[in-house]
Amino acid sequence: MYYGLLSLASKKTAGYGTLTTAWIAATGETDTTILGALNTLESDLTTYGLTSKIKALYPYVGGTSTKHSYNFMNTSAFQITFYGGWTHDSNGILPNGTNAYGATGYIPDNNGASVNNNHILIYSRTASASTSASDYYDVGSGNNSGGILSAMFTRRIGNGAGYDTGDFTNNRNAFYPTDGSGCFIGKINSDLTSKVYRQNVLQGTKSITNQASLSPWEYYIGGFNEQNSTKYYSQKRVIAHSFGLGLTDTEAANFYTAVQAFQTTLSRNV
Amino acid sequence: MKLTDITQAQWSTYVGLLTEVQKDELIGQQYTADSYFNPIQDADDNWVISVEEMEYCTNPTFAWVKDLDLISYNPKPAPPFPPIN
Repeated sequence: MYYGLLSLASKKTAGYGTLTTAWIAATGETDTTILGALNTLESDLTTYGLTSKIKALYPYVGGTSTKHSYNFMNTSAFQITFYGGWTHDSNGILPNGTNAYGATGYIPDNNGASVNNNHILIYSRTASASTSASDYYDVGSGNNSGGILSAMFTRRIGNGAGYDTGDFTNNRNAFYPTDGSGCFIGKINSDLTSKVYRQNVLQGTKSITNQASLSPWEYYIGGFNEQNSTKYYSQKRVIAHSFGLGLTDTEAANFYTAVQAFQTTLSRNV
Repeated sequence: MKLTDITQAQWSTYVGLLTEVQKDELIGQQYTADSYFNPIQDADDNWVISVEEMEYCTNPTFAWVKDLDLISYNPKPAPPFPPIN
């Protein structure tokens, strides 16, 4: 009987939920402010009924590449491998725009997402437009023609931004923020209406054409995975990424509320 | 020019110049925990790594990257891709 009680007690770190406990075990984090914020985030996502729709959520806390690599929703899945020149600190992750990218292992087509059922969240702390003369992407993958594309970028030169789900020509949801910082959520569900929000304010809507494949290539962060070749490197500082299934408007709003509360606790919110 | 000759504000404008042999030594190797070198070619087909990889390298096996000569970064032109609407 004693052994059974001990086994049960070991499943959770005292006072923390299952996801937070697993994240602690993976990262060894001891900062109680961070852990309290993560625990509240877990509680909020559960309350809002979002956990089954979020396949990967990277909170980028802890300040090191190791801690930033773990997927909060499942530390055994979609751990990021960082390549090139990244800066990791208490304000998340910063790619150098030269050769830095992260391979997530998350392939939309293999994880329940589809052209009419997916979301991407990017919480950026870089307000300015990209200084690169080249196009850049914050996250994404696809082929070299734009016919199969799943990606998002928050503010290029000229303020161009976009959320891609499927074919570029028919399905790019283009918007033009004058501030590239904030919590951006691009989402699509069975109503075939792509929507992008910044700080829970609708930025753009696009009626899309459904198609068979979203993307069979893993998402890269800090750049774009074009058929397993990295291109379009980003220089944007990010404090959270999420990928997963489609969200309703209410779910997107609740997701923003939960993530914003998390960032506010850590004093790094926009 | 060396790493100690530039300020952090200049990091994005320089890269460390590699030989072909050095490039092969770095591929698949970590410069610090859970962070891998990523040599790339610039517009002149030089093999280079970023100043971040040089500065943040804590792997003693590759401490030599901190002494690489720096050159101005001249990126390869980005391939054409569908433009934003």
